[in-house]
Amino acid sequence: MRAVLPVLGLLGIIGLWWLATIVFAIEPLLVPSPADVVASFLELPGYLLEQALITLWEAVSGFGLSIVIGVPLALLIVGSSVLERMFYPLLVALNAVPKVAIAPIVVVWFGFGISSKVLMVVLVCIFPIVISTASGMRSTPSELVELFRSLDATRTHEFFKLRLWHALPQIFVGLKVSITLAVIGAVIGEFVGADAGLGYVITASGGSADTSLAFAAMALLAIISVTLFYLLTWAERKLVPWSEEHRVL
Amino acid sequence: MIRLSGVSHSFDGVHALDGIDLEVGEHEFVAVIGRSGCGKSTLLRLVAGLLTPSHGRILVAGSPVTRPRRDVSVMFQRPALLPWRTVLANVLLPIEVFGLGDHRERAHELLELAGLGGFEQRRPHELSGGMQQRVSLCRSLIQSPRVMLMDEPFSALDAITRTELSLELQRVQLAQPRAVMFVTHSIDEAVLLADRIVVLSPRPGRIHRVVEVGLARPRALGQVELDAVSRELRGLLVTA
Repeated sequence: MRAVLPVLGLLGIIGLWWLATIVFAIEPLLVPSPADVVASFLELPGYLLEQALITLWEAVSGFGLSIVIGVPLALLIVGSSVLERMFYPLLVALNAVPKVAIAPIVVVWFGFGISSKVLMVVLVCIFPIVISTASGMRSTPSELVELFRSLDATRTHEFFKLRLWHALPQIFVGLKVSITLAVIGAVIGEFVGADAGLGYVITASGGSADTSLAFAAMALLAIISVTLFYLLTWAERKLVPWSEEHRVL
Repeated sequence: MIRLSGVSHSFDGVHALDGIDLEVGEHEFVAVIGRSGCGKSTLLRLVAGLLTPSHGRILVAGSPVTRPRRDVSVMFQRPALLPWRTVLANVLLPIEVFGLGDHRERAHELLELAGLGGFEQRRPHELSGGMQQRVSLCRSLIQSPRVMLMDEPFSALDAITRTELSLELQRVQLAQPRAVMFVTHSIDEAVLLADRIVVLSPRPGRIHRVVEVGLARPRALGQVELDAVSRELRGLLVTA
């Protein structure tokens, strides 16, 4: 039942879009109708799905790598004020640089293949993960920290039995921000230099003025993003059942 | 079991405690009472080894307190339960941190005695405030402490639940007497539970008077004999 309203909203928007292309007789070259887009997809379904899988793989592996690097990084930052003062400003600076500006260099360094895209994804994903993990661990209530102190718990216990668990709901907030950025990061990488992936399809279709194909690729990107996002929301419900943050964002 | 001699404590320029001399026997229940800000929580934290005194010595079971120890349990004002753990896992936390063997049976026993049988697999947020504090009591009992330190453990509860838990604590102490230091600002609680009541005067916290409660146990709330002691305490708190 909960899926009914979003689906209705989506169908409504598609209907309006379709109506607009008919009523205003817009050139398909500028704005193709939904039917044109679907037709374009059905012309090359195998090819488009293959490209979608490539982009999906880049986004997911970069996202996974960001967790693997980001969470321990946050642990180090919370654990040591020296490390925090050394690396935190650097992290902020890294995040402040527009990723589009870094992309060409990353492609020069890592080539046209998948690794440059994965690195782009890591660059956009890692910051929200580090920040949410670190701030979640820091916001552990003082009474719980004192309880652990009164048990003479080690730092390891304090981190892995208390702070990390307490941070989990906030980590998921960071993850949900990151997962949508992941797809964007992959596409930026593909825009700058690639021979595969949905971003590549979009730039290539621009060259041949195939707007319908570009729209089909964008629709696939949107489907990937939304699916990944809701998968995470589902995982959150399973893994963090005590949290009150069961809303979508 | 607990011996404080000449204990003073200051932090951030605040002189919190001054020249505290106090002994608590092996099976003795001592209540510490005083107005807020008289340093009674600080006193408890010093004995717990969570703070180090600026001056003086604190001994527990004959050895100086340098850090928190396993034979001393601390119960706080709030239940301080881990929301991601079940009731059972919360009770078992000290055992896990200490790296001891399987205590599940003991945990079940304690929970059963506390009237929480059947709630082992629930999470804290499914429990009322009073039940949460009972879980917290079970958690501080599972490490079989020789000394129990309690920092206003019932003050966040409603009056009825408070009374229930006070009587519960009396039962626990009767079944297996320990050295207890119980910080409170409730005269009724102190009179009901304690063998001796230490009245602190504020800023800096000094021992104003120690009152012996020579009444047999179990005591009941509203018992006439408690009134005289209550009246004396009320007077002392005014002059403190």
